Amino acid sequence: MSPRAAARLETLGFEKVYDYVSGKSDWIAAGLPTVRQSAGPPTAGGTLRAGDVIGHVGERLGDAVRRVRAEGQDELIVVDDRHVVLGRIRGAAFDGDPDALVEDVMRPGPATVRLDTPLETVVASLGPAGVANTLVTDPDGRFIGTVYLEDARNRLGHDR
Amino acid sequence: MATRIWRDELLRLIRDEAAQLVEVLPPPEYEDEHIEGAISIPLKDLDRDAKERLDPGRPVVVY
Repeated sequence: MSPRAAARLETLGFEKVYDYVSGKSDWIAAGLPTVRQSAGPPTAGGTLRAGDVIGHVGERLGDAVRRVRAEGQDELIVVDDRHVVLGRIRGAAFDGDPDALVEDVMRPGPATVRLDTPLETVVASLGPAGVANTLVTDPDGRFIGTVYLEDARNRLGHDR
Repeated sequence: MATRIWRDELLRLIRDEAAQLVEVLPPPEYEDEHIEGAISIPLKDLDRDAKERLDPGRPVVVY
């Protein structure tokens, strides 16, 4: 619909006309401000946890592990220079060669959800798989935070 | 032909050029949820409302 609207505006004499290709759903998924009629169902954005330890491509595993342990955490999120999520490192992988690059150690292609993903969907996905959390990214794959199954269940329980 | 843009450029146009954001979807969709600052001019009403409600000197972004 928007390409036709843009074309029509140009024929009406408007000279600086742009078509936002990915539209409202992209904006919402990125967590940008909207005006909405009702609260809607609870989403991943409402139970987001920040504070994960981030490792960048090219970083040595030993350096990353030191930062993870200093923060008292047990996981590293590996991102590229645009903050796009590439993988995760946890568990026994931390005991690997400290000189290895994080991108060679990480488990690539982790599952992600968006800020506007309903918590019901998160629970339905993580619960049966026995997975404790999932990463939240914007539509471009850039890391935002983590949503935990425990938080999602609690939130839905409070809402019922 | 209108320029196709993605989110980063939209944010720049809003910030730097006071772009006007227009939702051309049917009114119920606008009322349900719309981008903050956007106005509603459904496609079928563009001919009637565009010149009255939009500043031709500023960028217009439709979605």
